[in-house]
Amino acid sequence: MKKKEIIIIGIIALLAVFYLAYNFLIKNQAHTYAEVKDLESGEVLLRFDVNEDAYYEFEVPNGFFHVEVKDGHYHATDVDCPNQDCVNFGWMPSLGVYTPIICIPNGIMVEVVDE
Amino acid sequence: MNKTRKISYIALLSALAIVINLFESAFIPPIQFGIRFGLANIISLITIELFSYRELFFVALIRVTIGSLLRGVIFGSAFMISFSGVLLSTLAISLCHKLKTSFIFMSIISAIAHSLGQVLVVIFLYDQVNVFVLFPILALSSIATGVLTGLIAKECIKRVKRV
Repeated sequence: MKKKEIIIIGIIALLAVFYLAYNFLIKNQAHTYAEVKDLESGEVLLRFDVNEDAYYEFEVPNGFFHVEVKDGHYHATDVDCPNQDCVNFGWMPSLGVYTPIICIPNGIMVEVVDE
Repeated sequence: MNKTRKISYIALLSALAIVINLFESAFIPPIQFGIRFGLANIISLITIELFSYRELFFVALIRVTIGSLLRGVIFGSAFMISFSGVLLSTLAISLCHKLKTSFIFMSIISAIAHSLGQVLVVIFLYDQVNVFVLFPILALSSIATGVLTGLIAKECIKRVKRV
């Protein structure tokens, strides 16, 4: 790679790191609540407490969608869908990072709520 | 290169891209946060090196359409998301090729463009701005996967060009 290109990649990496640092260290550290949303209508199906261990079930177009909450973390599990992308998002937060969990085939999104 | 030869090359590259795409989605699950290797991008990189941006668009279009058809998600929102990702990464590769950037740089930029396209479509399709948080994570991992696919493509081209 040329020098100029390394600098461009470096700037992109720095911006990404700063954005993440801003989002996760300064803006919000811990969340108490998360929401399960229907992507098509934007309707909130459930608001749950992240610190309360539970196992929730939702009926979705392909069958069922489950959210497991344990020790302040949550993940999508045992989902009826062809690609299992939402399950592979893993536990939230991981490495201190929260991202929305998105399941496109079932039109479901799980994300933390800003207080 | 004559016309018949060119057409068969395009068909071969498209078929390879589809197979790699299906193979990856079946056997290599995303690591975390939806991070994937994007191995099918290797074919795009080989195509641009052998031909020009016109053939690249052909291969990309065939790959997305037939790939989605085979996975049974054609014309749904999943199709639109993968289509926009591939479209943006194809545009990025074409642009880098025109600017004569180095090969690895082209690979990284196209990987980043791919995730940008996907994230943007999810934001516009569902009106969920918070999804943008995923982009910096995907962009950072794109740098690593971009280098990987770029190196693989470079080795492939060395061997393909001899044929």
